[in-house]
Amino acid sequence: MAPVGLAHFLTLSVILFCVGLYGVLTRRNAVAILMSLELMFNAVNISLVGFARFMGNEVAASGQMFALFVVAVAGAEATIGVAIVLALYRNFRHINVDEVDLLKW
Amino acid sequence: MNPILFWSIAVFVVIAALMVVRLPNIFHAGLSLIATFGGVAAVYAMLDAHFLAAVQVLIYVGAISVILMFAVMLTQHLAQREVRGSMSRHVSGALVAGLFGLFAVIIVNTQQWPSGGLPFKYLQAGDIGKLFLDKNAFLVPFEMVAILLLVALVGAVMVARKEGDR
Amino acid sequence: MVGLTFAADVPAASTETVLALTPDLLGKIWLVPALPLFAFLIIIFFLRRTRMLAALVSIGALTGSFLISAAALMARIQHPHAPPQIWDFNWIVAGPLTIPLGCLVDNQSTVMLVVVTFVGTLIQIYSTGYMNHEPDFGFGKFFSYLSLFTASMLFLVLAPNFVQIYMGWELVGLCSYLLIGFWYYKNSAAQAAKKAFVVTRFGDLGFLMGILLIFHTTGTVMFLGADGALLKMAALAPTQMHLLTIACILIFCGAIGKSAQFPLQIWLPDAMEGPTPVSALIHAATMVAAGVYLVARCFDMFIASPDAAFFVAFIGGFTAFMAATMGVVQNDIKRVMAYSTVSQLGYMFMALGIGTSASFVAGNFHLVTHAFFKALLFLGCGSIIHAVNTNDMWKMGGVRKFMPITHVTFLCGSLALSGIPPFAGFWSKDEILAASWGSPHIILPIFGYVAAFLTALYVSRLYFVTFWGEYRGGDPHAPHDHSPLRDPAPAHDEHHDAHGHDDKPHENPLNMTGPLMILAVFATFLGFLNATPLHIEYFGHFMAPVGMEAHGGEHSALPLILSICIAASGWAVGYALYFKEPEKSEAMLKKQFSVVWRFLENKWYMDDIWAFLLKNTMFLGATACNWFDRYVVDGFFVMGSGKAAYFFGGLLREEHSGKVQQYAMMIVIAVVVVVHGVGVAEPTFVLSPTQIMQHFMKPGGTP
Repeated sequence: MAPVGLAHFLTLSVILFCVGLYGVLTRRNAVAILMSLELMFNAVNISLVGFARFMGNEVAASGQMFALFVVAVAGAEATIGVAIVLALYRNFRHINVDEVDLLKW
Repeated sequence: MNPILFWSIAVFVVIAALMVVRLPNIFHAGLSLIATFGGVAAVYAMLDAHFLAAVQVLIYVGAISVILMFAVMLTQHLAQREVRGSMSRHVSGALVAGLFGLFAVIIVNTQQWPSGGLPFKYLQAGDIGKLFLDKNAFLVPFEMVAILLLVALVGAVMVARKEGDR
Repeated sequence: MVGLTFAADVPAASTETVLALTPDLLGKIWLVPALPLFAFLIIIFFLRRTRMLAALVSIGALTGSFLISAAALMARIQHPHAPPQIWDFNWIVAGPLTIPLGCLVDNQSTVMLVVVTFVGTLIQIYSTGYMNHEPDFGFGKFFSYLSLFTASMLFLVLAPNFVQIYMGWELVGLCSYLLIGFWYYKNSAAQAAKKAFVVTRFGDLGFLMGILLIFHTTGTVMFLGADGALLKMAALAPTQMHLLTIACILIFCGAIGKSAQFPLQIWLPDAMEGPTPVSALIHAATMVAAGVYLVARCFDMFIASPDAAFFVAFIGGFTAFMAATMGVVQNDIKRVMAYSTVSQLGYMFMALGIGTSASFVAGNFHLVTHAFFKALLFLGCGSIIHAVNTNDMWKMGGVRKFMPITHVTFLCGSLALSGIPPFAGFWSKDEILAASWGSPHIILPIFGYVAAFLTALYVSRLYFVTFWGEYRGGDPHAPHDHSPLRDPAPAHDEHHDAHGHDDKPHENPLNMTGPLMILAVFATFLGFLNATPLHIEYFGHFMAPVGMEAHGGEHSALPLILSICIAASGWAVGYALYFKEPEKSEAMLKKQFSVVWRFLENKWYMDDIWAFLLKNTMFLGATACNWFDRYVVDGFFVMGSGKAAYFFGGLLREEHSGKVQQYAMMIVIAVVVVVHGVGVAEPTFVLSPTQIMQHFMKPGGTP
């Protein structure tokens, strides 16, 4: 087996991203969508850290710092997302996104 | 690094992720998510980003998962199963995601990446802290994130409050 | 710029270069059409309600034109071989194209000028008497229209190029419309005017196409001169005969329309709805002769194409025959004269089509004599109609007893028409018939002689039924053929009192009989201008086409005697049938030849044929257009584009499902497409997945 290199991590990142994408597109529960979204964030982070590790000194610091920022922002985003879900629940008594289609033609 | 280690952690992460997106019970999906986060932390550790791994566990597992679980519990009964979407939805979603993934995988695997021989500076917590406060490095983004978190806090409160409250 | 130009390089028979008209006179030639035009404008704007003043202005203007025309004719008679002279100014100058308007003075045009102005003056004098029942505004209007007509006709005659003759053509057509429909409240008159205009327009279409073809081929519209259109077109004969023939036939189409030849003769009989002076002036003497004038003008071109010339001759001959047959069965005296006009015009075209110098002279001479004796006949008819208040010959009879002057003059005209020597018509018509013997096509003399027999027949029928026998008419003062809006007949009452409560019709006053008498003199003696058998050929020498033999050579006495015999036999048959008991003869003929009679009465069913053709073609065209408009324009384009917009809008509308996940999917797909596209466009920047897969498939993996 080839030594584990950047390509492996990037591939892992892509797979995780796509799984998250599938979840975002498919799940009907709003919170499940948020969970899938977190998966995608994590995938990106893996990719960033991978680059930081393998691409040399100039980007080493940037990669990990960027990943930290992503974590912070993802946290903020999850908060807002949950707030929205709660508001949704209050108005519709359910959080099935398929039935929340008032802004349509 | 050890290929066996890598592969086992990778498989674990992927399976946990698949469980997140496929389990009909939302609570079980949340638990799978926590498992995924743990796995990702392990990946960070493999990539010699120890501080980040710790942060991952702290923030993601410790805070974000909790928020999501709160959301789950506030919005439905624990044992309730999610109503399944239509088959066409799943097929098209899988197709789109699969296609995207396929392309990305191909692109990634056909580049010439440098192998692990490049010099790599191992970042300690202190180094990271210095970088945060270095005006030529990440000071401004640092302050921005702080403001962002404040805004998110206030915004979440505003969005989620009952109508008619002050 | 106003200029005096000379048609240079006209191949003249003699080497004289003396000018016929002095510059002084030539400079005044433009007054000939201008004076009647001024009269028109003055009458229209100021003098409509003043009867006699309007008439005086109109007659005065035309007399002035006549005097100038006569002077020009005199000048040209003194120098007949002088080159044609042109007074013109450049009207349109557009790059290489220059179209002048002006006056062409040569032998042909001066003769025509004198004919038009002289006959026109006499007819206008006559009209002061004929139209005396008209109310004031109608009377003035009539003279203004007559002036406008003569102005247009003179403008046409003086044309030096195709454009001006076409302009004059259309103007006289307009005036014909105005004058035929003069009593516009009469539905039949309005319809007749419309029919005349539309039918002649039909012919004018061919004329215009011919002009355009000639212009396209030769680059000029001028008639005369070595670089004029006619000679240039004629020069095409050896190499491009088809082009030349087509151009000639198209030009002739205009003449077919205007001169009422087959198949467009249908408008002229209906045009008799107009007042009789109009019929005399326009539809006998001048306007319908414009077609003959045109072909005579373009003679150089026509004789270069034997096919076109034969076409002209054949149409002329056939029309002469056809119209003569129709004239035999008419009951309206004006209709008889109308068909007679069509028939005589056919003779003129036949003559021109035969293409020899002698026939050319004969045709033009017949034009001149016909103008006089036909005008005479029409005015005579008008005189009778004015007196007995009906057009129907079967309501007349014995008119000679109470209208002696009319009787004698009408007799002169009839004898001239049928070609009895020594009257004018004999000399001209005989020339034509004699020339037709020289043509290789035997059908032409056959047409000519049969038509001559029928001419004598119908004119003698008309003469005997109208003037002899007992008067069959009723009250002459019942309203008929006059404007129903006339004054409460004070003129008639005055006549009444003057003649002691006489209820019978009576002779007309001098302003009507005067012109009749003058015309009768011409109808009797004018023929001697060109009595070829007697070797008097003034007209022939004057009018011979340039470059051809001045006279047509000797011919035997046989055609001469044949024409006299045929004319005389026509009169004899007419006498036998109609002198003693006309009604019985008519009834007997109708019974014996009922099928033929009906065929002729229905004008050979030509009106019906035209109506059928036009209706069906128009209907087909209209149906096609309707289908196109309804289904293609409206259905496909208008409704179709609406429905397409609705359809595609409906498709796109589904996008806005309100479902967030669907939006997310769209975004992902878009990203994939964009990346793929960027990869295709700029392979070094991002590799397109398919490119990568291709490399991947190749042995040796990475790019």
